[in-house]
Amino acid sequence: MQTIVEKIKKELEAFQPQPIEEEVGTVISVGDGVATIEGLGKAGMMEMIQFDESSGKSLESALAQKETLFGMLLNLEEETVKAVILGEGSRVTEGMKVKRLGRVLSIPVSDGMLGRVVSALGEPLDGKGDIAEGVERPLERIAYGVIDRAPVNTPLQTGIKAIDATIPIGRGQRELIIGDRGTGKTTITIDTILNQKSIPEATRPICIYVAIGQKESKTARLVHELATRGALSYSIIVTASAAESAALQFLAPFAGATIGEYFMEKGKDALVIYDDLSKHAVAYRQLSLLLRRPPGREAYPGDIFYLHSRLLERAAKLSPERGGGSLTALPIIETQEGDVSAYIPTNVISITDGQIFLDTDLFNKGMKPALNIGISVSRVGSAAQTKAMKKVAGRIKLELAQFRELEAFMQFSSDLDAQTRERIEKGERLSALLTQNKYEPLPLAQQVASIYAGVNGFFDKTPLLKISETEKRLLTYLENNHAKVLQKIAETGDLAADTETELKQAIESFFKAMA
Amino acid sequence: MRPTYYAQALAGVLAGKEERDLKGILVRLKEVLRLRGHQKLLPAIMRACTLELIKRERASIVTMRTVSGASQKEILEQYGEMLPKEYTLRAVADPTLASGFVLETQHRRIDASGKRALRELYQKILVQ
Repeated sequence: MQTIVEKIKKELEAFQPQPIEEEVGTVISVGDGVATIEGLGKAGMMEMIQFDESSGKSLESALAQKETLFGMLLNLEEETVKAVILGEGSRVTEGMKVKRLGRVLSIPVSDGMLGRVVSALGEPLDGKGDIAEGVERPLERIAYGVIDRAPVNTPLQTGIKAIDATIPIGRGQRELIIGDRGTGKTTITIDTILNQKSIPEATRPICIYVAIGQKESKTARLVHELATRGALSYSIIVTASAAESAALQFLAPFAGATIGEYFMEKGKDALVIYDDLSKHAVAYRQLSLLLRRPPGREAYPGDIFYLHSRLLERAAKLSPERGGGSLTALPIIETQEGDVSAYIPTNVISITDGQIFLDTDLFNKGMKPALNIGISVSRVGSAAQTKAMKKVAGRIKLELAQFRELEAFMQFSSDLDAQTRERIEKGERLSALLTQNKYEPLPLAQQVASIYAGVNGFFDKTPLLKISETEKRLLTYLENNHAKVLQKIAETGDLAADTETELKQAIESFFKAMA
Repeated sequence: MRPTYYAQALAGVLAGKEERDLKGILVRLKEVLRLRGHQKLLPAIMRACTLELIKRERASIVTMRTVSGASQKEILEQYGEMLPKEYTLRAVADPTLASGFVLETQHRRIDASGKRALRELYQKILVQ
């Protein structure tokens, strides 16, 4: 208490009010979250402005107002400027004075944001108190150039066998997750965040989940899930729910990228998930139409591609001279009835370094994650895989590719030759092996062991419906009785000859005991 | 050619003119519009010109808000360079200022009020 009193005394002693000169404008109209302002002739694009609500109010009322109302200039016209209101539009009235702040929109970023839920402006929303003061970083930044980047060669382990084996993602890559509603897109990203818990803290990526236009109940459930499973301590949630204004929904992904860049520039790895960019495009369309910008295809503004390209280009793997950090982006796009040739999906597909397609039919057949491996791709590929995974993944991809070709003939199984029938059965077993429950990501060593057993025919005699159960029992057996083998794979990232022999023997002993 | 361009030119011509000159100016304007084929713009030009004249009048208003409402010559002399060459001074009483003054032109403001200073001090203490 005394320290606070001393601080107040110090401030009062140093109190020497000086007149300040400001450039001001006047609100001439306001509606739908957009204010038209006369004046501010020297203001720049995306400059922050502050609405002066205290004019005409007593000192007491002015002090009682805790939150300052800001805006961002998005249209610079001949006589007026238009600004989006970053808060409650009802607080702005016609005739209100507005002052320039002389800087582009920025948010405070610090390590104190870890484990917190924040708004698109960096304000805490989880009721855990203020966040420790950090550095102000602009929301919009030009992405790193070619010279400052290094090749992507470190894997981002999602913990999902189907992805890590066949569509590997590297740190610094942009991998799109695309599919219809309810196909498990968000689940893949949550599993990825949960899996980072198994990575040592020194190399564990900071996870940033950006919820754009989502239901608040969904975001709350997600936060609860992460907290329960101990993943919140290395995560940050940025949320602009469906109840927020279009301006905040538009800014949220940029806030996520800004936070990610903060950690990337400190030499750390970061992962940012944009859930989802379809809603982001809709919010930007709404803003642009309210700003009277000319509409283009499907009423989206002409720069909708640039909106997403400049956002996603900020994901990078930096060179050692720049600290060697990385920012991996997992944008999500929701399609309508599987139409990946629509406007926004095609835009984002062309920007990203690969896509993971989630198929509704596969989901309904019970294959979860419902990955359509045939049309999913990672342009980074095996450069982002450990040696151990490369050894087993190559074979599973080949087997699955052959299975997909023969899948159409499954209905004629009794008329097929033995070799074809064997391929189909093997493919079915491998597909069943790649199914995985929600919130149960597997660390690298367990994935390698499981896939190794699958491609080497150890599951050939296991009934199809018992594959998942048998796999779980195998992994438990290995963890309890042959933990050293798994540890070797985890530490070295390789499946050396001697390790492979040990693993093979361990798996053989399990199946012998089962028989 | 936009109506606002004509309006700005017309407002400039009308500045400082007497009412008896108005008719002659408007006749001349109509002639120019006829020669250019822009007669249909006349209603929009007149509307824009009205707005332009209001804007110019507003630009010449300087508001000084003090607690008592009395204008202070010293303040006007001190901040003379930010004021327009010809201006109309409005002295407004604003007891909410607590102390000091606020001097406003159309697009600039000098805020030397006690309210602003105390509010900043309060926020500074609150943040710490």
